Amino acid sequence: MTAIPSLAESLGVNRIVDGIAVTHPMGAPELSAVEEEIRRVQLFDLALDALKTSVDGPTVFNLDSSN
Amino acid sequence: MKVLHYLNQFFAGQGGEEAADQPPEYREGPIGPGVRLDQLLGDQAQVVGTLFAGDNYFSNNPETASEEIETFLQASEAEILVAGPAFNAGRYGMACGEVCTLATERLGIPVLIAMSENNPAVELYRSKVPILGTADSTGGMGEGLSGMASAIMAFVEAEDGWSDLSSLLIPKGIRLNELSSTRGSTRAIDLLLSKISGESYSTEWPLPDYDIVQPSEMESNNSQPVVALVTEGGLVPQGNPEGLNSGRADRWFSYSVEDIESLESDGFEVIHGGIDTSSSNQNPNRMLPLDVALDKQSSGQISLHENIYSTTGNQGAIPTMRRIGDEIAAELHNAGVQAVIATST
Repeated sequence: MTAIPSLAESLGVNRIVDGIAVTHPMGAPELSAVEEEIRRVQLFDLALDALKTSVDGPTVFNLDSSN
Repeated sequence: MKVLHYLNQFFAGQGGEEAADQPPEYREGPIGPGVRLDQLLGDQAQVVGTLFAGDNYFSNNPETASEEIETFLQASEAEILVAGPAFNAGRYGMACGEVCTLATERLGIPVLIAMSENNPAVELYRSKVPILGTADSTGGMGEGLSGMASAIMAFVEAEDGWSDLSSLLIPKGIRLNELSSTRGSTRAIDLLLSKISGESYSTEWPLPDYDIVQPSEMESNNSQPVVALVTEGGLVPQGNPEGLNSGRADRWFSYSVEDIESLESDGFEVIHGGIDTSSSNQNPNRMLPLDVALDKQSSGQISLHENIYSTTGNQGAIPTMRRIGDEIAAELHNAGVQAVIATST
């Protein structure tokens, strides 16, 4: 889970979840506490989905495109 | 020139895995591949002795092994120590690296290792000792020995030792500063123009090679995988009691999260030296989502591993990061963890 998926891709990481920011990949301080927690749950769910998905090589999972 | 040859137990004819614990031994004259090496050297140099040890001996007895090897090296009166060819044999390569580092650093004896550039020991020792590339397997023995003999003979002739012969060797991976008559922007444009026009060009800044890792699959019917959380974000208990580095990390730590419900800011902090840590320090779950993971465990979607794992990726050296990754992965594998969620800054 990283905010720089292109870097992870170039390193050969196979399942990459596009995170929120470099300084807080799983946080969204600009949102309300409730909204931020919802976003974190969504990202975690996306990570679990990614782990259950077959991939052939580096693959980026993105919250926006999966919804 | 008096050449001392280092071999493992297998190439010294002592046996395979059953002899891998054998302590170091010294014999006068060449043994095994050393016989051919001695012939190839002709009159310029002679293999005066052979030192050998079991593949496991170094990793199992690092201190006594070093002492024993040092005693043998001093007694041999060698003018150069050559090791291998170790091809792509990892333990053999590591032993060659240890013996040659010791010989050159403690006793000032010139050394040469022959092994494949794919040998894992290359990454660890190439900055310390000259390494000659060989094939991956013993099929390249003839070629490897010829290469060693040529390199030794070139060394005998060289005025300035191995530094004159760097083109023969695997690059040390050390970048040297040099003055150029043109500035960087000009050189960059020249490089680009050469590339566009199909002329030859070479980078000033070669990128390291990374491993290609085959994706693993989780069993599709696994409805409650054992998941571990890992981060390179420099997450530590408040006050960083174990002293995790804020950059150039050489260590990692695991922390039990069995008795906590979330990463609270009075219990954990982020000491990563390459980012603004304030938002993650307000709520460390923003770095590693333990709060959500524990909810997922309560709802039965995952079984959360009892420890979280942390190091700092900032300015990390690739070989060190690889070791840290290997060590964490081995612990997770032994603990039966089936999936890892790793957060990265």
